[in-house]
Amino acid sequence: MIEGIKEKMEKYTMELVKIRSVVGSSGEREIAEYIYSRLSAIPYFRENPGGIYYHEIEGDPFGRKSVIALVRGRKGGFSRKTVVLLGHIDTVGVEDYGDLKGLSTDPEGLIEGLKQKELSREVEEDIQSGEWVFGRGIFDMKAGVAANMALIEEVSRRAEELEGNLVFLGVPDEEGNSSGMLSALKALKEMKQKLELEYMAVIDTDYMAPRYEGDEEKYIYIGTVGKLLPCFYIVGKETHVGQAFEGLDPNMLASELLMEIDLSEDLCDIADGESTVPPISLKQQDLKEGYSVQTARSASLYFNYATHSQQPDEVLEKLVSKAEKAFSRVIKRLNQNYRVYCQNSGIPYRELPWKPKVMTYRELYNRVKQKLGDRLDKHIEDIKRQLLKDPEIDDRDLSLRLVQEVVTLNPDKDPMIIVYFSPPYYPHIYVKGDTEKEKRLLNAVSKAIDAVKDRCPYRISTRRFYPYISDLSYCSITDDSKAIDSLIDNMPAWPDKYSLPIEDIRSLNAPVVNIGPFGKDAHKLTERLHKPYSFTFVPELLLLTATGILKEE
Amino acid sequence: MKWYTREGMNHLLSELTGIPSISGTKAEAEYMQYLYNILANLKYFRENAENLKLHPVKNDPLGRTFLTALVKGKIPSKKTVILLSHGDVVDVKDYGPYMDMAFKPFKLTESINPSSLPANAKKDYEEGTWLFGRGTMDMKAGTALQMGLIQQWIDTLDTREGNLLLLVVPDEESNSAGMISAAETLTDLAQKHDLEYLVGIDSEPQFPNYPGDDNNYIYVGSLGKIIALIYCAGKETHVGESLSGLNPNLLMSEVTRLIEINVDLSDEAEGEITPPPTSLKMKDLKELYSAQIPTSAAAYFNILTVSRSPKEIYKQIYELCVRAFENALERFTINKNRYIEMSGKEPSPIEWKPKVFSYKELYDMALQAHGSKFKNHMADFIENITRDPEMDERELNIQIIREVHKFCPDRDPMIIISFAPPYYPHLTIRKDKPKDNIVMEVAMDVIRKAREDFGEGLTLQKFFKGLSDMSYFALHDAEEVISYLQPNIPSWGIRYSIPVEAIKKLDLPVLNIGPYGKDAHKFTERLHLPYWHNVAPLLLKFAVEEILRRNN
Repeated sequence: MIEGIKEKMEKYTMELVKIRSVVGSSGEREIAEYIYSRLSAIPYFRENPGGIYYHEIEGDPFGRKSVIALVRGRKGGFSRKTVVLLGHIDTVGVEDYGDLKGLSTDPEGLIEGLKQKELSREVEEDIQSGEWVFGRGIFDMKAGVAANMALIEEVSRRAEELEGNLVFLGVPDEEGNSSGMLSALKALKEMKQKLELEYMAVIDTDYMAPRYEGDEEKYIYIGTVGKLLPCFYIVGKETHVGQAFEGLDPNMLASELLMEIDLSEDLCDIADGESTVPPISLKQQDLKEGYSVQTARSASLYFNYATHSQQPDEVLEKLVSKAEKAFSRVIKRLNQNYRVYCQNSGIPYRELPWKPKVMTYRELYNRVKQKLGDRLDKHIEDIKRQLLKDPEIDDRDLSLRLVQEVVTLNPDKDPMIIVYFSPPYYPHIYVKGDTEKEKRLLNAVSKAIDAVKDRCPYRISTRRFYPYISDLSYCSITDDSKAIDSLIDNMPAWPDKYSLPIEDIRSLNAPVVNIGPFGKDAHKLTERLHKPYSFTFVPELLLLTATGILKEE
Repeated sequence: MKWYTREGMNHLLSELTGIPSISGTKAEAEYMQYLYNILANLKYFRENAENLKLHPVKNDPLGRTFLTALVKGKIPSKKTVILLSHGDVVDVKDYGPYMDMAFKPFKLTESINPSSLPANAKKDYEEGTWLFGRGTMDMKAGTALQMGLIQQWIDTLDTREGNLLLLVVPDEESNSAGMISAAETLTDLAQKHDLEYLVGIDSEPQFPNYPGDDNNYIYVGSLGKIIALIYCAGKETHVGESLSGLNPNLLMSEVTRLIEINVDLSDEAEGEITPPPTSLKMKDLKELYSAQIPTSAAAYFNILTVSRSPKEIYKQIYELCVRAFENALERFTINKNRYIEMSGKEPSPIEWKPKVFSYKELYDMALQAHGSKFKNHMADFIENITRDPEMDERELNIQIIREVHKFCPDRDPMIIISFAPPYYPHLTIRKDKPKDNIVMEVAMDVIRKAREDFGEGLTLQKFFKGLSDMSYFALHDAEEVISYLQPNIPSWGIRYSIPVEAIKKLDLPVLNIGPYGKDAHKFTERLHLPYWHNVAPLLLKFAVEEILRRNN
């Protein structure tokens, strides 16, 4: 059976990569249809047509949908125990390929194109070795989806040998807002109730990369990192270019704030000896429209913030204090320059009037509400309703507009920084080994590794947190309602534009593991998959872990 | 009605401000048409119709025009004084509740609730001698002054030796497309009518230099301005590997921190110190949300000059960009190493070095790597992108750099330095030019006359502090403009260019004599009526007569 899985995985990988399925495009629908047509053609699903179906994202402008396929094992009679094989079918954009954009999903053509480029020595060596295949999405994560397809297909041919059940779940929009996974949870919940299933674990086959240059070790991650998207709305004071010191440029505050937060190691979240990567800026812009000789009035920026253990309320507190520091530094620098300018120009120096002012969205809202009362709620509701008329409005843009609206109504016009959250929110999952299911998963993974380690030329080890944001986060959620409230209170888009189906997540509530193909440079033009490990050991580890979890003791 | 009487001035100003000629709108053309119509009604222009003309602004998607009106004295002479003003105003969003009345100054001034005004404006308001409203000081009162002088000239034509050329241009508040277009027309007109220009006199408002400044100024030059457009190309990465890419926002933040408000970038000449640079835009170029960091970011800075050339500014900006790059890499390395320490990974050396290029260098790299394929692609790209006539000129430049960068064989993070329109050359009186010397002498006489006849203290300033179209009467750094500025303005020659040859040919001194006002571009914009009615017209007339007399 394993040879069949390997062979099919390789074949499907090459087919999937050629279907360009950039997040937020109709390509995501096309690839779902391709997967559906492949799986529905295999004998098991021809005999059990109800076992495979689409789950559409409600009201999605691109008509995107997930593919769900259930294989029920018959060994020892029907069992409730079920393992979910999860994979996302979308990719990030292809702009980074520059003039090779047209070849980004054509591995044969792309490698020729890349040979013409000035590349790092490591990439050149990898090309030379012949062990690598290049292409957008090749290991993030079409090879993983291909592995899941191959596994489902081969297992289904011998359903009588399978204990328990396997669910294939291919979801779109993982690189965007996870709307695929979030809506598919409902399908999992319905399936669970209808067929009386018990979800034992979710196995994701998203990519695995070296942890540092030259790292040859291969990792299986049990649990996952979480993510918040903290945002800052900065209100400055406009001025004419000829009166540079009469204003407070929000871009100056934004720059200082960015440097305070971007890549700051003191914002890494450490749990169980494992550290998250530091936060990184995903967007920064002032909000001035068109050109004029006035400085901007406001600016906005937001960061990707990874968590292992920190809850939203802790994160807010840290960021407020970072913003206060940045604000003070800008004021200090302005005054220093102003003093010199005054001296040189013979103008009397007077300290500039600015004072650091930083607050959370909730604090701002409460302050304004004290002044305006229910009028504020009504006004914000009206604005929200208007904004939601545009079905394509970005979650971040909508959040920003709502914050701006509250700021506009605030009688306090001083420069200030507002800290809030935008979607998405990805909870971290920490698999401690406390529950029966967690123990089973840990056990199955360790047995799978033991089974292959003597044949495998690479060291395989386990770690606690899958380090990349993925849909795995939505397989389980904390019971700590205080943490969730702090998030919701400071997230203007909640619940009308964005919310998590907390009850659906709790219905799944399974421990998670990522067994990924190995590759390098996700989201870069040199994105590539290592064939020997990925096509040989991944299918085996996957099969052993899945069947290991399902096996009756 | 005579535009040089108090009633005539008020009436004319009321008519002129009534047309909402906001910069960058079609109303600018309507405004020119109005000026044309009332001038065409004068007997002189009925008889000399060829001396009054509306000219189309070159390559203008809005179809705007500028106006020239030439009045020749009866005693034949080539000597000609150019009277310059702009017809556009900035928008009126800042008026808030008074927006409806922004273009009706006399009504606005009656209706303002003084308690809604900031303290300084309130004080002036209570004096009762100030007229509030958009375009009052900036600068329709100035146009009215010049129109009054034109009419007065016509009314006394028999005794006049020398000519006046009235020039009213659009777009001064945006890209100065009007004046830039007019520079060539001026040289054509000189030929056609056999004119020798002596000076460009502008009537921009005279305004305080800093809050609480009580001085009133006369200017013999104008500040220069150059926009440094910085483009940062980073190294893209997934947020999960934040330490294996380089965020262009990090680079740009360092750039902004080093350039903005940095007093080392203040310029100094003739005792003038310019305010340091300000950021007019900063953004990354990522369009949609994703878990990928932005690939590039752009920002532009307004830099004022009184002596530095584009080359010198480039050098300063270059050094700061290198330092910004070093700082960003240093910060990156420190954080990366600490992270590595915490997570037990193997450290690796940082693979990037600071790379800072000019736009021209970037373009040449792309051209060398891809040759005509690149050239053709860029031609198509520009044709496509310029189909949108309303695309902002700065945005156009950013998009061009971004496209050229796609073809750059070097994919390492880099900072690209370019310049964006509009470029305003600085200029002031030069000691070795006879025409300049005359303007300087006359300026001193105007100051004396103001004191003796009106008890008004005027202070000479070598540079007008607001930017103005006076900049285009001469080009002191012509060679550097051609060799440095032109190849580093990506959109040069597409929609924007400066007629270097025509401006070199004009090579005129400038003088500004205008009304007195405060708070340009604010809703408290206001004109001091007594000075405008009683002093400014006489000083302007005196200056024109003196310049003509001394050049004869």
